[in-house]
Amino acid sequence: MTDSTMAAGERGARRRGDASIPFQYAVFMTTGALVLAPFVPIAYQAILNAPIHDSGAVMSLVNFENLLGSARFWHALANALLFGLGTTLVAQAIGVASAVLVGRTDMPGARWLGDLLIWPLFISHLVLALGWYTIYGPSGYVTQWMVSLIGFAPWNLYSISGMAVVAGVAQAPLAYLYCLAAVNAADPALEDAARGAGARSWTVLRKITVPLLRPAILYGLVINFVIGIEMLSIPLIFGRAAKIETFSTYLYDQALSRAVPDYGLVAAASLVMLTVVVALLVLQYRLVGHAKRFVTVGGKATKPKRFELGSLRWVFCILTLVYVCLAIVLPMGGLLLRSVTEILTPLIPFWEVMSWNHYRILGEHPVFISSIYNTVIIASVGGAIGTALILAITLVSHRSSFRWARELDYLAQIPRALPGIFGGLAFLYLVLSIPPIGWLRNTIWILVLAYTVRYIPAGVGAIAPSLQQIGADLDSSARSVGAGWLTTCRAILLPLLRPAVFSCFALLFILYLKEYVTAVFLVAPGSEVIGTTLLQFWENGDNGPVAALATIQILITVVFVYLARKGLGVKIYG
Amino acid sequence: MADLIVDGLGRDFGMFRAVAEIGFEARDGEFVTLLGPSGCGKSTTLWMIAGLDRPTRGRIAIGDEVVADAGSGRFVAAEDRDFGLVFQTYALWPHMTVRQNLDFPLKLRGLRRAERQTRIEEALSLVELAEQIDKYPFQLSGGQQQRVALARTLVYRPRLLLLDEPLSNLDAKLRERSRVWLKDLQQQLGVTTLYVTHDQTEALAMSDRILVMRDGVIVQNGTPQEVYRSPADSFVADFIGSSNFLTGTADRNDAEGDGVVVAEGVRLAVPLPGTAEHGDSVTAAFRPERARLLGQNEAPSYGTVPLDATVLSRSYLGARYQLVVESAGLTFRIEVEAPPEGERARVAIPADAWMVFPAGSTPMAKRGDA
Repeated sequence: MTDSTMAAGERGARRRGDASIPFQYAVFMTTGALVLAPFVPIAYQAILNAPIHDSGAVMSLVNFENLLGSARFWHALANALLFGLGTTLVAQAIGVASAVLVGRTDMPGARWLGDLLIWPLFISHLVLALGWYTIYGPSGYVTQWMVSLIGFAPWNLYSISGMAVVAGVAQAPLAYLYCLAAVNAADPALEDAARGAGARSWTVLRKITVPLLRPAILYGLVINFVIGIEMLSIPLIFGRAAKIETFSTYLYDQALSRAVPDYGLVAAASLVMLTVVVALLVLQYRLVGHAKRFVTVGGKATKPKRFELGSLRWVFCILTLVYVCLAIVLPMGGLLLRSVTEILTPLIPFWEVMSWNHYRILGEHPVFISSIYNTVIIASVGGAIGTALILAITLVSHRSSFRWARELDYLAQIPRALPGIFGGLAFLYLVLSIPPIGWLRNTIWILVLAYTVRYIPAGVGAIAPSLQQIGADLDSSARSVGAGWLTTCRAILLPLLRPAVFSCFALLFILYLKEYVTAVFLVAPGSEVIGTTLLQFWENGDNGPVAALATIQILITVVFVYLARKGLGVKIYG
Repeated sequence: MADLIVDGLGRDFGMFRAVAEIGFEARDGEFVTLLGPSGCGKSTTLWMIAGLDRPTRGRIAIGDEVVADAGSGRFVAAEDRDFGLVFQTYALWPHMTVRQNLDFPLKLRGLRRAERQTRIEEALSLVELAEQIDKYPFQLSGGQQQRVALARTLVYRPRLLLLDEPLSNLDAKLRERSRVWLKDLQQQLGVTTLYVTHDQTEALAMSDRILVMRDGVIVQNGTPQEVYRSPADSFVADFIGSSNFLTGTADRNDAEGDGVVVAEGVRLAVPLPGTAEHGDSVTAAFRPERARLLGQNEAPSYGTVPLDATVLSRSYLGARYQLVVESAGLTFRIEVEAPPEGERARVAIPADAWMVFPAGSTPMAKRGDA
């Protein structure tokens, strides 16, 4: 290179009209519309005295008067709070204990026990509840076995405490993961200091390690309480028979089980639910702050010393194993067994009643086939669409000089406050109130839309931490050599983010696969998904085909998780 | 090539004035260094020139093209300025080979494949890394990465080369070699260069001109010789090289000549600048290496009064010794080739070693880690 060629250098990169700014605005507007639009019709419906699509409707507070004047509503609210409380206690106790055992002690087999402990996260509450019903329900396999052994059933799942145990088991992995992150991030020097001061292992554990988990415990506490309050499947499966109604089954009943739903009342009730959830999340934000969501486990030079359990290590190992077997493996195995037997009871050896009949029924009914097909399409195609949108949101909100970047980040967090049942109803009112988009109502795309809005925060949470790990100089240097913002994202950030994008897709796939709460109000003939079909046939008492369908959902999940981990090297949940 | 013109440039972050108001020019082919302690605003200035940060006030122009003007709201984005910026962290794209790193800016400019190939090879041989073309950045040493970062910038022949402490992550020996090498390369290419550093040695060794910055303003603009020999104020005197500072009162006295009374009854013979009036409070400074030790009976040079001093401590620096000495209640550092035998020493400070500044401008910041 000589001075003369240097001087003859051409000026600047050739650009074909940079689309960065229009792109950023498009992402902002799309997100805003998706996140905010569902609120409008449902809020409006709540203050109308007739259905929103009725031209004679006028504004009034009659819905709230009816709702607050109804003893049934107050009863459902009280049950929901009680159920939520029980769920939280069970989930936190199991979650904290297992996190400490797996993360901080020398319990044998901690690694693979830890992998088993999070499995309920991959499976929908509905399937888990069906599994528990099959094993521990009034006519469940183990229950009957106990009855034949001691003459009576020692437990009753058809009660608030029984339901809370099932829901607690379902939610324990969440508490476990929050605490595990905190356990791993804890500074070992604090424990070493306590040892240095003369404390024995047990004292250190009780006085130092667990108290340090307090923020994580508190965080999981509020989240699990919120989830407990809005949970639909478990109260539906166990509560209805015992005439125990919670908030979500009340909403479900009002919206779906009546010939003519009281749209106004349902809208008002969902707004009350939204208010309760938002209040709880605000409380949590005040208590813990937002930063906890991004607890990152940094590489530390010194691994914290694990507590030595001594001769108790095998006792704890066996206890954990027994828990995993009883709470997770047995119910899942029960579903599998139920799906291949005519009847499942300890009174008849199951190999004498084995048959593929239930699977044959699945094959013969188009609704089953289309549910499976729809679910897989929604999870894969919808998951890919969701990942693309979430990637765009994260890049604009975290990595651009877009003037509304912060506002975009806030917008993307709003669905965190949206209970699934509320989201479903909100989208229902949305398509009801805007006739031109009414056609969406009968397709799976309304589900893709509603699921995507619901899981934007989860997806952002999967991508943002990885994005923050990529030094800002890497984009700045691309800009300085002549690349526009979009080109920088495509050529520099996207390749570096590839693992995070895969993780986001895998997470969305699992979430979309198991989602059903949002769907119950939105499905129409032809757009059924596995979860809604399970509910529908369970209500008809077709337990065999239900078990077969649930088994298929579990199999899809297992195969996908295995492939995602081996094939894409993806991490889903820790 | 064209001149860089910075005029009234400033940047506020909320209430904090990172860059107050600075103006300077870098002429075609000139090597200009922004030198100052951390937090002085030099990097912010560089970032604004690169187009990665928007000025609060002032304007930046290259030749007659204005690339940023806070007054009119004009702001040309970094990617449209065609400047080259070398980052302290090198910022090589880890998923691309050396070749791909260099190819990216050329592709953006729509060059043909053959032309890109030639340019990449030229640029890499310029930084003596032709063999590493297909390696990934993580396979290279820190020094090699730094040279790739430079090559990636030079390959598209930018109008202006901006360097943000490019040598600070190298070890001392390599840094010394890179200084010579980088300066040679810059002269060979004749590219206008703006260099940011907190390292005074780098600045003195490489620059055609040094802009010393402090608290968001340029306190001195001059050649390396000027800023070293005639620092504009006591801050520059301390930041570039190091100095002993003595505060006192200017004393113009026909009998004894100019001097500074530094304590009750202690008067040093110090030539005063024309601006210092009799009775003014002043700071007198001299560099440790300008002091000399006199033998027992050796006469000082004309106009110099030797001080009888006690040696408080001595440290061996390799080529020289640094002594902390005390004389008439004053403590200061000197550097000498051979230390005195005992506790006593006669110290002479030549008249032309003295620098006198108005008082109240005592240095706030100590010199950076040179």
